[in-house]
Amino acid sequence: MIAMSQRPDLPDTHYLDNRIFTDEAIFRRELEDIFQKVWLFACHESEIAKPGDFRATVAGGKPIVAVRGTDGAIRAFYNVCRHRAAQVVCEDSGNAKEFQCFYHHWTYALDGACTGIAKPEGYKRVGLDKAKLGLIPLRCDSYAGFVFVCMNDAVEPLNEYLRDIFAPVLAPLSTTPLEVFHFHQATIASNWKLWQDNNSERYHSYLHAINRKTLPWVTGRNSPMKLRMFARGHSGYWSDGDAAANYSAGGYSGLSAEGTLPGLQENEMRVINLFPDVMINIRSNVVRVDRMVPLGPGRTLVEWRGLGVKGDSAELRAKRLRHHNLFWGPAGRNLSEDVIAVESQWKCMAADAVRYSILAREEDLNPTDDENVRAFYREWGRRVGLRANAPLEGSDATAG
Amino acid sequence: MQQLDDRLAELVDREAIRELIGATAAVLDAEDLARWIELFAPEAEYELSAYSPAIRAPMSWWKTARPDLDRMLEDVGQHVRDRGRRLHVVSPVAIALAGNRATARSQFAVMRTRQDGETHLYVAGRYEDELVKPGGRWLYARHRVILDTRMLETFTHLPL
Repeated sequence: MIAMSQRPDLPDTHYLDNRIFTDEAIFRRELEDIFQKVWLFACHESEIAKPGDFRATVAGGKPIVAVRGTDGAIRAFYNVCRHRAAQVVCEDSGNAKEFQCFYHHWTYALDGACTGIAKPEGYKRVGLDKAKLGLIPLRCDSYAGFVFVCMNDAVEPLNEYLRDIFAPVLAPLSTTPLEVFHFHQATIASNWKLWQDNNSERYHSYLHAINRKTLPWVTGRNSPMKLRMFARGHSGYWSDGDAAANYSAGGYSGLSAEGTLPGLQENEMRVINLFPDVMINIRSNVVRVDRMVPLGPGRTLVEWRGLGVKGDSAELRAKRLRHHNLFWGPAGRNLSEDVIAVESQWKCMAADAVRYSILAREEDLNPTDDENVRAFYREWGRRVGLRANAPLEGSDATAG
Repeated sequence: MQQLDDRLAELVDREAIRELIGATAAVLDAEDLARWIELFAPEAEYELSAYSPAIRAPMSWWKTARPDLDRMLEDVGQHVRDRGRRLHVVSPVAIALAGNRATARSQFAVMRTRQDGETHLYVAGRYEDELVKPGGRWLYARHRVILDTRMLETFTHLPL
């Protein structure tokens, strides 16, 4: 009988121990060693377009708020009052002249400075200095309209972190200003890495009824589309030639490529996956951005954004929306299938019925090659100091 | 006498629209999409929408007119999709008649019974419908679903 814990007869880099998706201690380690030591996407600049606009979320397990100041600069802070640690900004988004903690009414300026303490005379004897009690800032910077935060001063500048992986999508993402027209989120019963895997590997095109018809070059032997590998665990896939989606082959003739973003062919797809938790997927005239908030080994809040061109006519926006919604969103034909798949994986992994899963496809970077996922786990292993195929058997080895 | 006839005709129309909305729920619960689409006029549009406080804007999650809507529904059987069983509960309907056109507004909730037998509230929202009566039968010209629910436990290939 084959044991559930029998290792596949494959190189160490070509399979995973499924406990990296379910182990509580590994999850905590990921928050500290990965999420708190990388640049994390927080929001798109268009979400905080005007002075005073703010966007509150969770990054790396911490509550944060990004806000555009009266000087136009975007800053980010831990969304925690310096007094007794209540959440200062309680709405997901809005516009404010200042922030006031609801609990004891300490107030903060948009640049984080503590500007008011209720009944301040009570602190006179101890000499409390509000100048030293501003909201605690995070590093915050933007790239191509995408706002990122970082909790660690030792991490390289954002430009250095993203420059190479963003280069092939810079034209569609930053030539004309984009804006978010779609935002929804869901807590999925799965591990955050499984969602990133799903966003990275193209082998699962077999899962999608639409892709089976409209993307024949994905499942074919050779494809003009190739995986693109970058340092730091980033990857992507796009074509230098003809790899446009053939929607009419699937009977979806109503889709329009009108408004194709700069630098792309009609119905071209370009996708980048940023380590650890972001995917930017461009389908010619519309952009999808996934962001993850890991809540536990088997719980992940996923945010999905859809972006179009700011100032679109109603007619053109409707065309982008139609393209977006066919695949994505809570009623999208593909996204629904993806969520079912990663939840199924995690349920089985949590049962520890079969210990290992396989990432062994080698296809010269054709879309169904697993090399981009293997690269992700090499970076994961380097950062958490564990081998992805043997995480509980020694802590100092690095996969790959 | 004419007034009585008019009043009776109006009541018949109102009852027919209520029956249409009730039938919509029943065919969706039965996953009978062929019958569901028959409740729409030839160029009618279906829309599933919600408001996003995060971006402070309404969102349209599914907005498709016939015949593309018919095409999408044909593929539902090919998708890997939620196997939960759904049950619509629809409130009394507010109807405004204008000859062979009408608007209707109702509140609804969908209960979802998972494969393991547990039932949960899946979504809540309202329908805001525009109706027409070509050939003496009330049909949707626009069937708009506006959800209060923004976070779905599982996504949907089926209309709500």
